Amino acid sequence: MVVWTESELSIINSIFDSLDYEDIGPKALSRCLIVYPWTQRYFGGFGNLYNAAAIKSNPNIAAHGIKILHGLDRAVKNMDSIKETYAELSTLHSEKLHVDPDNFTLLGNCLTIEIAAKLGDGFTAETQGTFQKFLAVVVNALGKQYH
Amino acid sequence: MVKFTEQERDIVRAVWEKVDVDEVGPEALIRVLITYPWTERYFGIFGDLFSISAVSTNAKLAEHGKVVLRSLGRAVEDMDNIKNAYAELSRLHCEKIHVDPDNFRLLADCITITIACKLKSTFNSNVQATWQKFLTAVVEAMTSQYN
Repeated sequence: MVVWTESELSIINSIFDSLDYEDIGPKALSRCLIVYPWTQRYFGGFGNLYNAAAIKSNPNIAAHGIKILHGLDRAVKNMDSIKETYAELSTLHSEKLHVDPDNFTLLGNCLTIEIAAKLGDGFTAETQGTFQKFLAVVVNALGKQYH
Repeated sequence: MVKFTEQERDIVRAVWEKVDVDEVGPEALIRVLITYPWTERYFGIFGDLFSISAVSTNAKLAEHGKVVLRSLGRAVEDMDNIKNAYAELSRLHCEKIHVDPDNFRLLADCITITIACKLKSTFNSNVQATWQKFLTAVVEAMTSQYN
């Protein structure tokens, strides 16, 4: 089971405390769809995604980005039981949404870049290491119910 | 062969112009060793790397970070010839230094994150997509002489 030190817990909480979910969520998801264009296939019902400008101004993408950040918040509030917290979401992404779990890592990368761009030099190597450990645990939990 | 449009070349050069090699090089390498601790094994002769502060202040590591990033400049200058430009370095990393090529991707990620911290909102999704395409070509070239 994943073990978190006091310092790691503090770093994760401090990162998420500094985030405006309504701002970062849409940015991270749009970045993902632009940098890794095949991910757009999961959002066919969301309307116009034909170019970067359309993606960035698509209200359905923005709303979904916010939803994802609130989903991550659940992990932040339950750091000792991330696997259980995401069991249902994992089943949903596997059986209903049919999302290739590799894409969770890509979204994680884009969120990391958004946070790095926001915090600048405040996103130190130690902060990055802890955040990426957190994302690895989240990604692992989301992939857990896939068979 | 990887093809770059005029616009992509301009973007890569514009990013590179803003990069202070002597600053970004050490920082990116430090991030690698802290975020992915197994990479410390390649730097055994550099001395104390046993804690975050030791890694962050190790002079030999910092120097090596500069060497690595300066060599990235060669790819920026010769974007149509990246594979040839790195053939010798690829052989060196395979036959003499015995570096697992997966680690090139990790270093590329940390270079990207460091640059995102410096450039912040100007490192937008279009710029990121192009920069990552460029680094993917570099990583591929570094892997190309492995058997």
